[in-house]
Amino acid sequence: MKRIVEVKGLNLSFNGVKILEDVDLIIEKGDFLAIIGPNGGGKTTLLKCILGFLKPQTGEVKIFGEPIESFRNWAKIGYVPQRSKDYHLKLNPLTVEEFIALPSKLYRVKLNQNKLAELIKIFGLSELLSKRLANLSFGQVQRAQIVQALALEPEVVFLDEPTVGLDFMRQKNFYELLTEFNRQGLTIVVITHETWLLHRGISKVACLNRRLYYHGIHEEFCQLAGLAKEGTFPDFHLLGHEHW
Amino acid sequence: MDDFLGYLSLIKWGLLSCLFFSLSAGLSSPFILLNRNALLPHALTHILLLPLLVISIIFPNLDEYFLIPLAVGLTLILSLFIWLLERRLSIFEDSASAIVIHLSLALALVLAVKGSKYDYRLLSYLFGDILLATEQSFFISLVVFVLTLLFFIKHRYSLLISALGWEFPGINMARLNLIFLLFLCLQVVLGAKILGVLLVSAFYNFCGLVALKISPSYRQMPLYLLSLNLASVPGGAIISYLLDIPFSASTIIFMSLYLLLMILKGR
Repeated sequence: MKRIVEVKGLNLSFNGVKILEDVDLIIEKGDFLAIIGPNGGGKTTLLKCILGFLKPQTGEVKIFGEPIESFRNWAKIGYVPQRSKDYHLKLNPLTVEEFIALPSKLYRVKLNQNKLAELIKIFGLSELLSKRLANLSFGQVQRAQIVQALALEPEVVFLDEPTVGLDFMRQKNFYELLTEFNRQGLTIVVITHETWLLHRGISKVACLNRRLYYHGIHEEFCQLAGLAKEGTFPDFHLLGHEHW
Repeated sequence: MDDFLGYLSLIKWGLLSCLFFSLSAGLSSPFILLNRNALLPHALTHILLLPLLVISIIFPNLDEYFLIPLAVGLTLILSLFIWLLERRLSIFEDSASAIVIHLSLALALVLAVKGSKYDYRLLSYLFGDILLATEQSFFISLVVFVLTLLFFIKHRYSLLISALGWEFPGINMARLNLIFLLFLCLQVVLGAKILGVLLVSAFYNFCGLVALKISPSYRQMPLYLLSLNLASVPGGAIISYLLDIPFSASTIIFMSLYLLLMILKGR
């Protein structure tokens, strides 16, 4: 299976505090990986190392077989960061249409207009395209962010806690939509601390709390964690700490 | 009418210099405002006093073509201490700015007291003088505007995400931010000569704020920015002539009318 991301022996500390310790992780094409763990467990930090925002003290990161330092084809990667209030900054002049097209402007890559129109329709943004992002609701901004991440038809998309603040039904619908994209061949990496959300569509799970405590297939994780069905809580010990 | 034309002819180089300075400042302003750093140009104008004093003591008769790059370079180096302090001491940017400003002003005061030579250019930078602007000032303003425009056209999307603090993998913000700061220093040094250090930073706030509020999209924003700035300078010159008040103050009064209109329209 083609390797999308390879992380080897990653170590990162801030002011002497270890955030990541000897983390090894492989993400293969077609994976729908959930990186789970407690708050402050290093999930977002790991993602930032994978995407080159942070430089680890030791260890290496390869994307599509290339070391992160020399990787240039960023349009192959979609990224939905943790939601920020700045999207609602009243002065933000971007319209939804401009916001969605932002990666194509930054990476100087042409958008596939037919595919984009399809995405806009799926996520129900057609009526909002000329509106300023600042005037949108929380949920509408989230949908626009996902369309933005998928607009360049990336091979892999990273989502950092994308369902925070959404009610259960919206979270469920959101994961069903992601599962459908995964079936069509998109590799998906989602970060969450809401383990009870683990959806059936997710194929692999990685438990991170400074170190990687578990990395394997979803069904096996559910058995080991006593997660009999969707919506129940896992065994905390598997996640590397006693109290959630 | 003849009086007014005579007045215009007297200040033509100052007016043209100010016009191109205001267009350069206008193009930079949205990024400063979106970054919640509206007082950065004001900080730069205060930091600038130290380089001006140092230059006037070491090179008392330096030509403007050399004085401006030297002042820009020294201001840039001093302003980098803001980021250094911010990182090293883990403090907010405004605290770091305050420290650098006050230290620069204190050193400038020491130099002013201890330095025995009087340099008239210092006064022109402090309070600005539109009458002192020459063809040379106009030419420099035009070049800075063209460079700013090219920089804006090439990096407008990267500058926007940097100002908003958004992360996109593979986009290097550090180098871009440094170049942006260099442009700011260049504009501030240039603007200070015509408008004075006290008022130059107003050109980074009024029109930029109004354009950000009323522009229907980011694509159309430069049009609003350039139009508002383009109208402000002659508008300020007319008020200055009619009320017999300093040009820099009248231009700011004119720009505040945009805000007043915006408030009245309920935006």
